[in-house]
Amino acid sequence: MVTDYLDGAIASDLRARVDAHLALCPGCASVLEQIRRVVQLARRLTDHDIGTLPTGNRDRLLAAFRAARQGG
Amino acid sequence: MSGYGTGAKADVEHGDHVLVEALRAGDEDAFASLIDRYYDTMLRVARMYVATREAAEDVVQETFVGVIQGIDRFEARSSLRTWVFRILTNIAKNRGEREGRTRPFSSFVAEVDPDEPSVDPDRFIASGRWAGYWAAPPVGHDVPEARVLAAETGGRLVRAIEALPSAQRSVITLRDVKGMSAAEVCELLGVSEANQRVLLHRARSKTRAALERYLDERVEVS
Repeated sequence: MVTDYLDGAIASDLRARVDAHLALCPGCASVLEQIRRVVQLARRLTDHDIGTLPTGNRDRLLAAFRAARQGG
Repeated sequence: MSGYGTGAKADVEHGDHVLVEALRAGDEDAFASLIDRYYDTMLRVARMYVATREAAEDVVQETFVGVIQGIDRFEARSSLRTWVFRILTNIAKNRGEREGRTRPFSSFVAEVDPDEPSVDPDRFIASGRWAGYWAAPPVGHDVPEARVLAAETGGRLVRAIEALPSAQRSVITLRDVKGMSAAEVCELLGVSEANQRVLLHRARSKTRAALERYLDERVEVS
C-alpha cells in the first residue's frame, strides 16, 4: 500500500485515511519518509555507481557496428 | 539523462527519429550513445532470463547485432527503446529456454513471500491493549542530512540494491535509479502493473530496512 500511496495509485478516500493515520503515527510517518529517502537517494545514483558495461564489450560492439555497415 | 524523462513524449520521438537516421547512416557515435544509454538496463533485464552474467552479456551483444541488422526495417510504430527491448526479451527468452531455465515473470513475483512483512514484526507490540502499535518506531528524523547524503550512504544503497533478487533489483533500478514511470517499466519488462508494484514494494522495503540499520549504527557510534 505504501508503494500505491507514493505512486498516487490509491483511491482518494483511502488516501485520506492513510493521511489521517500518518498525522497521528510518527512510526509509520518515519517509514514512509525513509522509503521516500530511498527513492531520493536512488535518483542521485549515477550510471557510474551502478554501471556494468565493461570497456571490452563496448569496443566489440562498436567493431561489430563498423563491420556490419561496411559489409552492408 | 535526457530520453528517460516521462513527460516530453514529442521530444523523445524526435530524438528517436534523429538517432534512427544517424544509425541508418552508419554514424558510430550514434551507436555508441545507444550502447551507453541502454547497455546497463539491457543487461539487468537479460539477467532475469538467463543463468549467468556471461550469458546475459551474450544476449545483449546479440541484441545489438539484431539492432544493427534491423534498423533499416524499424518503422517507428513503437519507440526505439521499446523496439530494442522487445528484441532483447525475445533473445533472452529463447536463450533461457535453451538453458532449460524458462522463467515466466509471474515466477519472480512468486518468489516474493506474501507473508514476509515489510517491516520487522518485532518492531510492533505483539499483544495486549497496544497490540499493533509501534514498539520500536524508526527514528529517521534524527539522522543529520549530511550523513544521509554522504557518499558512503550511497555505497550502502548500491550494495542493498545489488543484494536483491534479480527481478526486484531490475524494477527498483528502472523505477528509482533510472526514474522511469510504472507504465514504462511494465512495458519494458512485459509485466502487469500489479506485479510491478509488488516487486517494487518489496525492493523498496528491503532497501529501506538495510539503510535504516546502517544509519542507526552510525548514530549509535557517534
